[in-house]
Amino acid sequence: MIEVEGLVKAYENVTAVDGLSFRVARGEVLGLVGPNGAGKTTTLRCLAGILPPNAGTIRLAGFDLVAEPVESRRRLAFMPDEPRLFEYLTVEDHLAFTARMYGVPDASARAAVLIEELELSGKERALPAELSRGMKQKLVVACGLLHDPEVLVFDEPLTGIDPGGIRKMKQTIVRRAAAGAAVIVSSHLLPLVEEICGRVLVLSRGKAVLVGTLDEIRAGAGGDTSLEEIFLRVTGNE
Amino acid sequence: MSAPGAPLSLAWFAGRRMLRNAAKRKLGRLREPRYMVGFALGAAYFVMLFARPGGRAGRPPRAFPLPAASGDVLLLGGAAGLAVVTLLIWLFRKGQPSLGLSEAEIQFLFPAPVSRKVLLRYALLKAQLPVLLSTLILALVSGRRGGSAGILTGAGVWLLLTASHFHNLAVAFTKARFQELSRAARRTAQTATFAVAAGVLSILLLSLGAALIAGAAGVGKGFNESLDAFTKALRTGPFGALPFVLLAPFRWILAPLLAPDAPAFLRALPPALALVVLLYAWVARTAVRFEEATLAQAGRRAEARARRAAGRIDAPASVKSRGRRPFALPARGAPEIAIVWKNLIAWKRTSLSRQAAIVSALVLAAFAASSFLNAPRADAAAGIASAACLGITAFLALITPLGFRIDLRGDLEQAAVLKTWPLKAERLVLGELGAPALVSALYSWGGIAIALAIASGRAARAAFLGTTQTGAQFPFQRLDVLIPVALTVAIFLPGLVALILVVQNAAVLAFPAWFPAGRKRAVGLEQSGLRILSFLTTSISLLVGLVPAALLAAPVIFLTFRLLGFWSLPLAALPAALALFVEVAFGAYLLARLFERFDPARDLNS
Repeated sequence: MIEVEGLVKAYENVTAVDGLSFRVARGEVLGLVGPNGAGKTTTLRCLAGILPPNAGTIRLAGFDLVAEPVESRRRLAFMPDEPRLFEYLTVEDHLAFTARMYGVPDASARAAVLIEELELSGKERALPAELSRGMKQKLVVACGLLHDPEVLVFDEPLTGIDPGGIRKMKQTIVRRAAAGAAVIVSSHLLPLVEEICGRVLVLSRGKAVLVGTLDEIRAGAGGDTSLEEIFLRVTGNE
Repeated sequence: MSAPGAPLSLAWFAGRRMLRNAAKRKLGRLREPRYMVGFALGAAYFVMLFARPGGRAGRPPRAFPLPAASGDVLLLGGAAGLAVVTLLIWLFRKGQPSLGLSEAEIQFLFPAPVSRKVLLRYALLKAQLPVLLSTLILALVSGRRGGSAGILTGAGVWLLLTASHFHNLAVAFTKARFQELSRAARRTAQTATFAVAAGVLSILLLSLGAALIAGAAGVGKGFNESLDAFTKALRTGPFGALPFVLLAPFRWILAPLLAPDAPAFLRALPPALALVVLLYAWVARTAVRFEEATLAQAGRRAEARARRAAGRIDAPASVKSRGRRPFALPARGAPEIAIVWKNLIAWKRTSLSRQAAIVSALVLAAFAASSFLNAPRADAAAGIASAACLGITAFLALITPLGFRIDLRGDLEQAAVLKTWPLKAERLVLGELGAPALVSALYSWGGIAIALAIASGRAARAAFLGTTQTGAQFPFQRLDVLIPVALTVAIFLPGLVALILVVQNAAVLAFPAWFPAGRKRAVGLEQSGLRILSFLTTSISLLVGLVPAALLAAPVIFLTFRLLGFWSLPLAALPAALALFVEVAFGAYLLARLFERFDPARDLNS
């Protein structure tokens, strides 16, 4: 569902992502972890089509992101770490706009369900400036889920969300994966990754230093070790 | 600081550091070529505006010769106007004794070991910064007349603005002081204040009315006589000399500003200075709690500043108006329409049908007013109004896209979001250009319709009454001229507006380091220079872009003008507009390529 082969993204003096390859199958949640500056956000931005890669291929739901950008983006939802909203559009305007952009059938009904699910009820006429950071994050997620994407990419999805909202967000991610979506979750919160991700990819200096299921990773690390300890060991932050 | 806690040293320290740091930051930025070029252009512009002693020949501009009595009338009329405003402030302004400090100043100064008197003096001194800046600008502008005019005007403006600031604070402090009185005393004080202010206002308004009637009655005898009659009526009107006495403080404060020369200024100075000192003493001696009001005002100012930084001058849309949208947006259909819809909301929370109804009402009103107008030279006036309406419409249509950033320029800050939309870059670009083009076109056509309504109103009147239009030598009054010219503008303008939009967006996409994206309007000398540069770039590109259109239109006019007269113009506008739209299509293709190359991580931080 998500296929990345030999991805390279370099800036003027730095190679942020260096020959990265991985796959995420339907129904799978991949946890992308790594220290600051490891290349996580750059990888996700390349996956979302925001940054053009210098080399390598990215296929989303079977479509090459460079050769067929419109078709691949139609199947993608990218939820960035910093919620980016149009300050003059209300919550319901954002959903109406997204519905038209993706040509969503029965958009009103879906929007109503998402507003309920993500606890945005009563905020339909609110402008982004009147929403808390967590609420903004939820609105970005609601817009992302409106067109029922096959590929979901979350960058730090829990930032600024209250405990009740965190539980609901985790349920939302798991439910979407169970419904057949391929999901990538990038986070510094290792307990979150342990809880909801079937596989983990540890990134360091733009390269994958560890990939596998949690059991495989633990087995490789020699038994009953926490993900945090393994992470610190492989990224050299011990 | 030599004397800790002294207001002057506090204000001097804060002002000096603020200016020094701002200057350092600005000068540091000049190392970048864009800011250096912008600074040079901006400085050249302002030097040209202020320092040049007027006129192209380098001669100081000639003063407009005023009648002898005009000085008295200006002083009395100005004093009366000032008095009315002052009394309205006393009647209706609430007592919110805010010192006008920023949030940072409150954070540092309120808990600091300084007395309330020091805080107050600091606030008064700080408020002198904008006063002095306004004074300087007006002095520079007046200085173009040569001699000591600039200095005298500057001093006069300073006295007026300072007195006005002190007075407004005195009103707020006094009214707030009333709130601290017992209930009965408060009611008595408020009632007495209201009665005195309302009484004085009534006397002044009645006297002014009588003076205006007396002045109007004197018009037939000559302009000077009319002015004399006005001033005399103010002194000897229904209330005798009372209005003249009541206006005394207002005359004192205005007299230095209106003084024709240095001796007159010096004569007017002592009472004005005494008034300023008196007002200062009033503020300083009124003990009042100003903390809450200052805090609340600082919060409101910070909100407004944050809005401006985000590119919005107006307050957020009210909850009631948020249901309004330009048009209904079904979930299925061309996605670029959604971008147009979104950008129209960014422009204004209103429906397009409502805007169309307003324009239609204006067209009808123009037609009705023009056809019912019964005056000796109404036909000629209507002709001039039609031509002016067409000219203003064309000018506004060309100018508004420059500042109308409801397109890619405004959206590029969100480039990371735009790039995830399932849309080809060409379609995205067209969607982004759609809203400003639509608004410009609709208003242009509205303006043209109003121009036509004015002219056709006169024609309809003449036809109905069976008369001929007078002053028909003025071409724009004749429908057979106005209609083809208006049609030409209507055909040609949308293409031209679209071309301006393409050039403006291309500048931001191609040179993001020079012309930053976003709706924020930066200020400063170098930013003014960059705006001049942007205007010059657009003008040159437009001139080049207009060449093919002119080459196609000229032969059509040449071949058909003898046969068709003015009707050859719209005919020629057709191939010209076609040429413009071909250029726009090519420009949109280039914009799409530029957008694909645009890297938010690199280009938005430049």
